[in-house]
Amino acid sequence: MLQINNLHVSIEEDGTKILGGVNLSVKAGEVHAIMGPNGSGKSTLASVLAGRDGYEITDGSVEYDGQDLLAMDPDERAREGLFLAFQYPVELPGVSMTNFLRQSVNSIRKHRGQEDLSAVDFLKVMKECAELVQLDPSLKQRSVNEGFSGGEKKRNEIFQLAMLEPRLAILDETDSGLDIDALRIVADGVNQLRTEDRAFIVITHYQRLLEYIVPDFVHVLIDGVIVRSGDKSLALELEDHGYDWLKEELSESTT
Amino acid sequence: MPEGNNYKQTASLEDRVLTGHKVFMASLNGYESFLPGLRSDALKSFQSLGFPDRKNEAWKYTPVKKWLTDSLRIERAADQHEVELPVVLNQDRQYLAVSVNGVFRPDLSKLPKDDSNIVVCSLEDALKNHADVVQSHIAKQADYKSEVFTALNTAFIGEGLFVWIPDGVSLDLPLYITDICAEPQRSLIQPRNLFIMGAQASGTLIEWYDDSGQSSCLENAVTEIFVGPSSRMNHVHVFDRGGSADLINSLFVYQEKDSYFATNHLTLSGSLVRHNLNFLPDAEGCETHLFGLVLAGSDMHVDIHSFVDHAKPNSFSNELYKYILDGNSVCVFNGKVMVRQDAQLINAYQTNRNILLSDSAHMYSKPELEIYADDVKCSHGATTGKLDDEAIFYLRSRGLRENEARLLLLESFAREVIDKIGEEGVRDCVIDRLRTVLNSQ
Repeated sequence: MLQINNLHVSIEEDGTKILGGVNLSVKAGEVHAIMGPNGSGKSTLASVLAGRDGYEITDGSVEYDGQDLLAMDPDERAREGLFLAFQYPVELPGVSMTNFLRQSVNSIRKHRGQEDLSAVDFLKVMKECAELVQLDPSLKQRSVNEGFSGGEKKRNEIFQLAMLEPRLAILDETDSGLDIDALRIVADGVNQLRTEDRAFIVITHYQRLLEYIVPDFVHVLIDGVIVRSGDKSLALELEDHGYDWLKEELSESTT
Repeated sequence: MPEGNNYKQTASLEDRVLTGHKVFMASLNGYESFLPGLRSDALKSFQSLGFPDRKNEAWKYTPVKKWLTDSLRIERAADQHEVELPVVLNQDRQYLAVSVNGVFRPDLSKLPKDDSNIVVCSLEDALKNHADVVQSHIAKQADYKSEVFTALNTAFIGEGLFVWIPDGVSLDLPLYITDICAEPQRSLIQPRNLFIMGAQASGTLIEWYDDSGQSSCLENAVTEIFVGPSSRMNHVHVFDRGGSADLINSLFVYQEKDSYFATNHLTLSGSLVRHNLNFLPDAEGCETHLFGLVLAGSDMHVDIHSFVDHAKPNSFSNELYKYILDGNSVCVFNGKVMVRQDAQLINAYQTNRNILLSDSAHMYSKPELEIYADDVKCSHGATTGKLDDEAIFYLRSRGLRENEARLLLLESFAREVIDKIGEEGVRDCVIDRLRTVLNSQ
């Protein structure tokens, strides 16, 4: 589904190199975890895949279902089934959750050749998806993310994931700022949304989330490159030895 | 254009005002005796004050002389007979007071029944049939001694609307007020309105001015509103006359004890629009709620000067004015709040939020708080900026196209003010217009 080839990314403003040749292959139904220390480029990778401004692709390519992902506008990518769960979801005062979601859901449905959801069906789907992440029903009446706690904001991201039914979902440090209970609820929601047709890229700093969202593959991103890939046991090794262990191994192998 | 030529232009206009005034006074046919000396006093004020220029602080950002050109007709044109009312003025459960070119037309209106005791008529008829009431209210609040446009309007008091909801009476349906401007030439139209609400009375007044008549005039309107003790008035003013129409609107609201007054000024199109909004809660227990929305497209100049004068203790005022500026528009918000020395226990809040959609738009925002009492809660806040890029990206990441995302954000921004309008029909029409205007930008 997703093929990242030798991706090199710099910050547009000052040319700082962030990613130096990332390779990644994700198939439908798979859950890939990307772990790495601070500054490794994890969020940059997520941003670039979602189409955020401010980055320059200096080399490489990204194929999504055979299409050139980097040539698509962010909204095009979303309509094609890509979803980003933001690390820091922005507040939208005055924009009602219901209004926003209805526009969003129908925009994507239209692109898929489906009809708009009727008002009744829409409310039904909203209720089901909200229950998935135990989102307080009253929050649906509010403005998007306005006054939401950190945990509520993250659950709202997964709630939207459930509503929009993406094919490729990128979770950008969804666990950051969450306590263990909130983490479980979020992970639970995600697990219920795992299907054969859907792929997940779970970006995280800590191994803890991966105990609940068990990945098929784990990749470690250090200084803008994936230095090692493995299965879920790699995450446990990192837990025991820390990122420094890998850094040492790398520098040893280069000397 | 050199300064000398500019002066010559407006001097010429002033001269024509004076000549026009003689003609006007001669046409009054005894109507003058109801307000003896008022018009000539006002004319003298006008002469000594003169049209303002940039040196006048209150007009610093609004070079009004630019719009007061030679070609402006002073004389009134003939009546127009064919008029088409817009949808919002064609609903079932409403009263309707229609004027055409400033002249009240009972034949086009839908008025409360006689037994309701509610009076809706032309100012001229009001002076004949309710002389006492008019004489004890008119020009008592509208300051024609220091405000030149109020002076000009007062000098020419003729056409206008009189609404009187007596003590204890409730206006059971909202009263929609409109003036179809169908002058074939660019003219100076000066409506003078007087709305009086008695003690423990209530009602909703909605002034709706659009471009149904398809003409381009300069309206110099003055409205005085009296809100009686323990009464409750909701007021809405929508100005949407199209890109060649100008408005100088002076509003004077006087509130008595324990009264509630809420108003919402929505400016959706126009060329020059200047609102001078004055509020005097002159007793304890008053509530004053002020809302405004300005959609300023290219070449528009919208200036709202708002003044709340808390003269007595124990009252509350809240202001929220929001502007959306595009193209090369220039807008001004000047929000003055005064709390007089003995006006203790006042809560006065003011908020101004502005979104600039282009690099060439200009917003001048100035709060003025003059507080002389010491036991009060007053605050003001203003923010001016672009649409949030992060917000736009978030919406795009959910499948909304860029223009859809911008529209959603702008509509949500405007809704905070639009949703304060009680009448669903009016809200819907305003939102429709908002979408049309924003979509065309």
